Amino acid sequence: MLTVVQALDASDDCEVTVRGYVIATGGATFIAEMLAETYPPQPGGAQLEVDGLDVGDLESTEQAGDTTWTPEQREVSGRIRGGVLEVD
Amino acid sequence: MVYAVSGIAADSEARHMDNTVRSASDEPTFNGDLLVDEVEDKAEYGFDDGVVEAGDGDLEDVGYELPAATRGGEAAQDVPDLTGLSDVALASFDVARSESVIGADERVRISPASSYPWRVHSALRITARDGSQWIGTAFFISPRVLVTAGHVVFLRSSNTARHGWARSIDVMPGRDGNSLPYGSVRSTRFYSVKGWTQSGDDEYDYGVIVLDTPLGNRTGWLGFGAYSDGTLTSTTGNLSGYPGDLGSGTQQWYMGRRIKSVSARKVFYDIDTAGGQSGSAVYRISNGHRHAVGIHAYGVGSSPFNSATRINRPVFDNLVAWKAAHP
Repeated sequence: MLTVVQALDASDDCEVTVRGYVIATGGATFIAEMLAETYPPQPGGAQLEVDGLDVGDLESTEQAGDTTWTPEQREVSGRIRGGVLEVD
Repeated sequence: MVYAVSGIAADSEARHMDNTVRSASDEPTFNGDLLVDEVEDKAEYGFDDGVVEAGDGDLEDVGYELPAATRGGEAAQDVPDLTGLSDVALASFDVARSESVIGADERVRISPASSYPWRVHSALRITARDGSQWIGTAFFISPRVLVTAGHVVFLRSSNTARHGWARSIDVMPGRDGNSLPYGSVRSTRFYSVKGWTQSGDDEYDYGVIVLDTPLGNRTGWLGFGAYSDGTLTSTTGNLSGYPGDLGSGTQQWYMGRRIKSVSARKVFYDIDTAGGQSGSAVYRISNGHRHAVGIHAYGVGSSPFNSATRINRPVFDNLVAWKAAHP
């Protein structure tokens, strides 16, 4: 399992499991090192864009405006391609 | 001994941290006019409401003690009926408890919040470039200048319609539910630094809101200082702001606890916070004076603690300049 910082350094096309906050906002989804504490929150610190993951399908998410996020860190598995974490 | 403080009278024990080198990321940016770099303003501040004097301790007196403080002290009140709030109300969000409440929630509601120091803390309604709205907090450091997080005044987003300076921010000092004891004023003038607006570096996540009117002359303001590591790690951090999970950003909640650790550009603590409290002062009380030492910005992440942008020497210098430029 990698931190978001470690995942950003991972080589392309490798399978990874990344731990962080999952947050969908402004039309894109990220896994982030931390949450910036506006309400709703913003992705904070190191962050990796995630493709193919519907945050609404995750358990115990919160939502406000167009932002949906996990209030606790989660593990997301996928493949790094072009700096994006692709989830099957 | 060298010290650096601003606003409320200088604390003789305060020391500025002189080992942080100013970098290009510390260079100020603005959403309009050029920064005017002037010396620190020494304007007096006045009050038209009560003042809660700081006592001998380093916590605010809210019926609350360390280390086993419990929620529901003498300042706690029932959540007001939010029905019929004006358009500055922020009751439309469906909220839940945040990740950054560490263990039991020990925040205490401040109600009313119209006396000093509570009235220096302002609820914010932020309108981003794309019209989306957000809750935040800011605190006065002068009649016209409030400090907040960088991500409050400049929202970084992969969505180009949203990315950039906020369109406007409504500032509501001392808000307490339906009560706006100092009204609501709208600002469109913001500053931050390139380390945040250009690089998105969380170590440079701070900015200021400038008002057209000197509302701070009615609320008063916090001093601020850049202190040594040793001073900070022996300090109780006090934090009061407007979370989204309690009162939908309309109620002020306070907690104080010893600062856990510091880095060159961050302050870490297990003071409970939640989304909406970004921009809150993390402040110390010493010899009866209150000085901000950090600007709350992030919940728990790679560190097991919540964190603030530290007021180090470059941050201090920028705050002094922004304050002086807008007397």
